[in-house]
Amino acid sequence: MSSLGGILCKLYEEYGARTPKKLKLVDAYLLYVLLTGIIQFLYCALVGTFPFNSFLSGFISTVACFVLGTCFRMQVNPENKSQFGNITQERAMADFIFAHIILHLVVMNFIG
Amino acid sequence: MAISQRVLVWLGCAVLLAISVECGQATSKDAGKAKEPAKLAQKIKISLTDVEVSVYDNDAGKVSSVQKLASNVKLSSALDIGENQKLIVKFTVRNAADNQAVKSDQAFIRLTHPKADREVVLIAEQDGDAYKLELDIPKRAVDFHRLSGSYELRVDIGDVNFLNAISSHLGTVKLNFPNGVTELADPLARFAVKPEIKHTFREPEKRPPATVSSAFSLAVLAPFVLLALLWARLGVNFSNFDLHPTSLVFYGALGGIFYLYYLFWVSLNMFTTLKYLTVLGTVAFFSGNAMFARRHRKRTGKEIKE
Repeated sequence: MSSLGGILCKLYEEYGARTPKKLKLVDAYLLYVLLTGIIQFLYCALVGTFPFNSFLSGFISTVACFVLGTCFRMQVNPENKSQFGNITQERAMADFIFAHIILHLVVMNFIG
Repeated sequence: MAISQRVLVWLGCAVLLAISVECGQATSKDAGKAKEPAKLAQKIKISLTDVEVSVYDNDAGKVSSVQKLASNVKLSSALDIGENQKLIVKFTVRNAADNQAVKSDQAFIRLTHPKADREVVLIAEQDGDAYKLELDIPKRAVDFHRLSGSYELRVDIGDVNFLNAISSHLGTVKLNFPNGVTELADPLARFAVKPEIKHTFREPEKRPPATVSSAFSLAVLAPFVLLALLWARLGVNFSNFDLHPTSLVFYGALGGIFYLYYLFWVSLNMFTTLKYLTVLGTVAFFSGNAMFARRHRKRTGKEIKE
């Protein structure tokens, strides 16, 4: 148990030391989206699915935001330069925004 | 029933008689050159004779009982006819004057179930001089709606040329149909008043108490506070905020798009939304392109190579 705690501590330290600050910003955003999705799902599981469209659109919105955020993080991560070297940070951001515009049109259409 | 039928038969005779009389009168006006008026057929008085009621057993293949009835004599006891038997009724119609067998237009065997007020009329077939009815119980069960029980057996005879019609009650027979019933459902029952059909609105779905929903609304918003805290800890600042006109246009267009989405949710339909989105999207595309290109130059000092 202590070793597990040690591992987690080490992981956190490593994360704090080696991850660029911009990626930490994205990670915080991803954590926010993840928690929002989990709470929506808990509501659905505990209370009920009454406005089912709203639940679906909200939940799908968080899942899609998480996926888009992850893609964005992969593209701007300097360690992935070999794979996404030809995609600039600005291009990644623009793609991220464009995808969100499409996504939220669908979400708003579905929200009821 | 019997009375009404008799009345009908007599009425029929009377009408025919009247017509023939009229014809006779009409033709007699121009007597001489026309031929003689057709003579009315001599009406005869008839009697019912040689009545024989027998039961034929299909299994044994032979007649199991025979009762010959003298005129105006009924069956001594209710004749019991089983599930696989035939009721056979034979009779002869004779001219009362000379005792010759005559043919009758109408020769029916009528079986009435007085309790259920049901009546089945069967045609007696000619069999030589006599008339004969064979009622095969299993085959004809459907005609009786499988209603077993005591039936009154009658013979009805009528013809235009007979002076009298005969409706003779021969007695009671007890018919037992395979899978028979003892009572029939009231045929008028289907017209009975049905329960009123009331319109029911769709049941509203179960909703949680408002407090629970509100609590979860706050809970869903809570991670945003966490995000703000984490970002604050990471030292988010707006030092890189770009105040170039194209950037401002881009921020405006992006804000406009999401405001448009809000309006779409609240009031607009998809078509108007897409119309406005095309305009806003074009603006956002060009201004965003300019903004990101400028930021790239600023960050790397190079043009974007495509």
